[in-house]
Amino acid sequence: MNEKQIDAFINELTDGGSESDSSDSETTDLRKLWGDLGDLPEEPLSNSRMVSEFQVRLAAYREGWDAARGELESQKSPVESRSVLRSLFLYGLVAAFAVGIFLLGILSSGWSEGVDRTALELAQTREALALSLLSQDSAPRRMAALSEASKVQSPSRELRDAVLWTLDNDASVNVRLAAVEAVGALSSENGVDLLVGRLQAQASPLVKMEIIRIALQYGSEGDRQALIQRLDTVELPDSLQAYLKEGTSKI
Amino acid sequence: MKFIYIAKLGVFCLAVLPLPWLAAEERSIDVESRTTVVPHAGDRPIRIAVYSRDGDIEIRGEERDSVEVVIERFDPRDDDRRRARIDYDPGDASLKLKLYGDLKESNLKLTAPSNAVLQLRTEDGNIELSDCFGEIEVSSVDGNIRCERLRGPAAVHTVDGDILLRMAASGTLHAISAATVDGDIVLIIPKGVGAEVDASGIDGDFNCEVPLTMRHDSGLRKRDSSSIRIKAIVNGGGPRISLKAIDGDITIREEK
Repeated sequence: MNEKQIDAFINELTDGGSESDSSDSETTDLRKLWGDLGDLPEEPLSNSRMVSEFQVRLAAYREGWDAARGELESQKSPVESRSVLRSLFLYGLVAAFAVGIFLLGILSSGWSEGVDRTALELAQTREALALSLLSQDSAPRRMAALSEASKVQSPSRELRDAVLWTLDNDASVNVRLAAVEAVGALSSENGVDLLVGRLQAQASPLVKMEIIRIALQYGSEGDRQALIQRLDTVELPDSLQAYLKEGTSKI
Repeated sequence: MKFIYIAKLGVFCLAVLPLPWLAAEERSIDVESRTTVVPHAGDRPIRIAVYSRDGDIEIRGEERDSVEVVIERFDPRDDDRRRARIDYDPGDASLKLKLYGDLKESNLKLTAPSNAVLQLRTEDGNIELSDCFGEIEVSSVDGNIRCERLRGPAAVHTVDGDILLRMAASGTLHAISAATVDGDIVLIIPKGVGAEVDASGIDGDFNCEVPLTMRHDSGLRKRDSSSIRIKAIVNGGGPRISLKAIDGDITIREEK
């Protein structure tokens, strides 16, 4: 059966056998079978067709994926760039902080030296001022000199001697009173000894009173006990003895 | 010939150069009347030194460019009461009054520029100052000292005498020291004027009408105590005022 015959036979089957004998049972069965074929579900696609469709869909999916990804990337890039910038900024900040600390360390060491130098210059200026004022005729100026001298942290030998000389020799009682306090402030180590050693020589009871007061103020407890023992050998008026006892009784 | 010219020039220089120095040389003024006025127009405050053996000294400061000295007992007709001298050095801006004979016992009254630097000393006499703003050094034996409207730095000392310090209404920026044996000290502070008070004494009372903020204190005077040891701030603090008294009271009052 060639192709034309097959087509004619199919037409006969579909048309109800107009051109052939329809009484043939075989043909009838075939016709029925042909009719039933129409009710059959659609023939599944062949593997090759499925594969090609799959490839098409896959390609479409890839295209869609790429497009979506591209779109997503185009949408996400500012956020990510901001994030990168933020990270860079933070790293930069930390680095700057570290550099700042480093520089601060260098500067602070330089600043500390500067402060020390300024303090030294201030002390030297204060000493020079005190020495200059101590040689003035005016008693208030000499008192001001002793006030300045009291503030010098590490007095020179010259300044200490000048203050002691003032305590021993100044004509003004007010100046000698100020000198007592300056000696106590300047000579923290042996100030009490220096003062007590001068107690007997001082003529003014006011200066004696001040020596006792300052010795008690600057002296440690041991100094005070030694002071009491030493003062037993010093001849003091009754009022000063009482003043001393009151001071030492507060230990 | 050249040598002669050079020699003449040298002599001329030797003669001329000391002239400015001689011009500023101390002038000695013989006092010829009870009142003497010494002009002082220099920029520097004049330093006045007065010593009286047995007389009172009173000084009043005011805006002026001269110093007026009144010797109360001066009498030009009496040989013992007309010998006084004023040494004035315009270069050094100093004036020193020297009294001889009976005038050593005369009371003195001076009117001086208010910024004058004063060195006053008397034995058996009182000293009174008012409106003096310069540096003040005053000492007396057997005499009272009274400073009215005190503003400048002051060192005041007396034996057997009282001290009264009344600060100027503007207060002071300078340290004041007052010390007496056998006498009282009264400090009068204008209302609101600050100071740092350092008071110590033996055999005396401490009275204070001004609120004190104690800095260093072994306690205000105890009942059985005879001593005063106080370091305190008045009205927020200010210049240091040192008050020392033996056998005398220390009183701080507020100006009414």
